[in-house]
Amino acid sequence: MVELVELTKRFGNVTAVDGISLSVRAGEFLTLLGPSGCGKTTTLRMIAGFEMPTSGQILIDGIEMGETPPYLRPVNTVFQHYALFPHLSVYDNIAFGLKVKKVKPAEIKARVSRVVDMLGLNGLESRRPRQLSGGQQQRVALARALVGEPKVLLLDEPLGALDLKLRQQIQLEIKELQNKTGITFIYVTHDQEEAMTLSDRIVVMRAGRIEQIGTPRQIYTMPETRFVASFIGEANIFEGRAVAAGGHSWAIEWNGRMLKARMPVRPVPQGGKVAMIVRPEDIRLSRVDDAEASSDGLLVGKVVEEIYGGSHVRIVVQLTNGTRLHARISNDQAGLYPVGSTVSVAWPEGSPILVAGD
Amino acid sequence: MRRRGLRVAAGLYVALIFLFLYLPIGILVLFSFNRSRLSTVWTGFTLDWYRELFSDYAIWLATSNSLIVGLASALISTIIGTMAAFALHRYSFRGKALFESLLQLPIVIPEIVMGVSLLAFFVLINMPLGVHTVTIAHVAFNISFVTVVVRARLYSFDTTLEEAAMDLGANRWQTFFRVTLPLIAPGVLAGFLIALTLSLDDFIIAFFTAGVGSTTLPMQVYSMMRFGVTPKVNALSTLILAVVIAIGVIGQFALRGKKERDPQADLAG
Ligand SMILES: Nc1ncnc2c1ncn2[C@@H]1O[C@H](COP(=O)(O)OP(=O)(O)OP(=O)(O)O)[C@@H](O)[C@H]1O
Ligand SMILES: [Mg+2]
Repeated sequence: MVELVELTKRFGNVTAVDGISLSVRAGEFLTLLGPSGCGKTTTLRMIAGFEMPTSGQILIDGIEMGETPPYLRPVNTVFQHYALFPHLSVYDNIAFGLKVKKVKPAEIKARVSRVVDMLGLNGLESRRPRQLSGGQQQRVALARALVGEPKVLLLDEPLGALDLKLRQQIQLEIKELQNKTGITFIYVTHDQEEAMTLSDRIVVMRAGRIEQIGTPRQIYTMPETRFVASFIGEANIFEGRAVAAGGHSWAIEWNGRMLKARMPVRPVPQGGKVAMIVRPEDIRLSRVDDAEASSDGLLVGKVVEEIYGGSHVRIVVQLTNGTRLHARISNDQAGLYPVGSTVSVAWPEGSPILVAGD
Repeated sequence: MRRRGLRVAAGLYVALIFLFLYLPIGILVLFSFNRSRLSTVWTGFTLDWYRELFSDYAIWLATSNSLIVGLASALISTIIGTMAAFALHRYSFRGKALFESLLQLPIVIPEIVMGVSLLAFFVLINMPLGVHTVTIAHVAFNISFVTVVVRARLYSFDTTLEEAAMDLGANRWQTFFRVTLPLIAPGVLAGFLIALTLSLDDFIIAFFTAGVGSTTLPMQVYSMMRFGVTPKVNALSTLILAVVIAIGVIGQFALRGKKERDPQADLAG
């Protein structure tokens, strides 16, 4: 539905988007995820037609966009701060696109009332945007963008200005809306949890380039780069040299030990610098006494911090060589590992992920 | 006790300032209704001077000249000034700072210099003096004021609203007339009203650039004054004052009405 080919945008000597290629399928919910300044907004603005690419191509529904102005593109945008027209009522805001396209009044009425129903805005039609709550404004922005039945909907951090509770609620609504309408969504966020919840596929961006494209599960369980591994979810990182251990198993040499790991998704050179990622929820702790602690083969450390996190407890363990690890344990295990106690650290074989060391 | 004394003193001070500002105007208005031809003694109420005023052809002519010049120059300078404000707001180009300073210079150039130079210019290009030259001269200095006022309004204008409009399918014209103009209208209107009052007010520049038969009201007042400050001059001044105040009040109401409906104005303060 949307095809980006070697898309590049430079502002003076800043390269905001650096040759990205990407193919968005019809009806897909695709999320651009990445840290601040990585070029997400710029990419979206080029698709919408607000910025012209320095080089590369954008195809929407098979048609090269070239210099096509925003008002002739079959896409609509939901802006970060909504950009509702302050001088128009909710109804006129929603009807704006249909009016300028000279749709017949009777049809405008019907279509507006349909999206008003869909988004639960009944009774608010005659209000001005500033007489609405943040969540209501957000819904008006969605309604306004959807009423024209675009082929693609672009959303730039649409929930950025809302509080957590409301965010989660509207996230669900957005997902439902997308299922119902079947419109292709391209969604921008720097909130990885939001990306996980909503997306069919996630595009992880960094400094204007694509790091990895995949389903939320692929991105989380099979990160291809160290950046992706540490940006999505939390990661304990062990740095060392890669050792091929035959077959599908690899290991890293870390502080004179061999730590086993899964086969990396992207090949790494034998003996090259690599990072091994262990997720906090994979770490298993057990109390050990001093005798056991001095025995070889065990990874041993002291609990230095215990942080209550609501649904879970986070334990920070400092290994004998100074490395700090985060473990995530369930609430019922809280209290088993008091600060100062000596623990051994382990994880299921095959859970660690190996990525190039950068 | 001391505080009370201070308060009284402060109140007195303010009262004196207002007295100083408005007493002469009050006297002027009062004496326009005075029966005596001398402006110094009150001998009784009359509307004779107004009657005389309304039957004076020269004054009607001056009034119509002033209105033509005022409305035409306000309209033209509002259009040009608004466009200039947009250009300055939206684009950055070579020599923008210079362009901006040049545009604002007429605000500080002494009127007498403006008047003389414009006269010299009209003579140079062989343009006969008349209502049109006064209008051109007024446009020349009004543009600066309109630009400054409209630009102030544009600072608080959120350009993503224009992007939103275009995103929804509005072309550039539709975007301008449906979104941009309604939102900056208070600024444009304020610019127009300032231009109108400045033009109605102007004596010096009109004095230099007007020709025979294109006398404006302030010039008419001046020429009548050569025979002394008669109650008739007072009456004319009173009417001019009334009109200018009316324009000001209308402007205030227009702006306030807009503000109530427009959150952008609230932000702009
Ligand atoms: N109009 C512009 N002029 C100059 N530089 C720009 C412009 N727009 C964006 N940039 C630069 O391009 C880079 C990418 O910006 P962009 O807004 O796309 O980031 P982003 O991923 O959306 O970040 P955020 O999460 O903070 O919104 C940044 O370094 C930014 O400073
Ligand atoms: Mg952004």
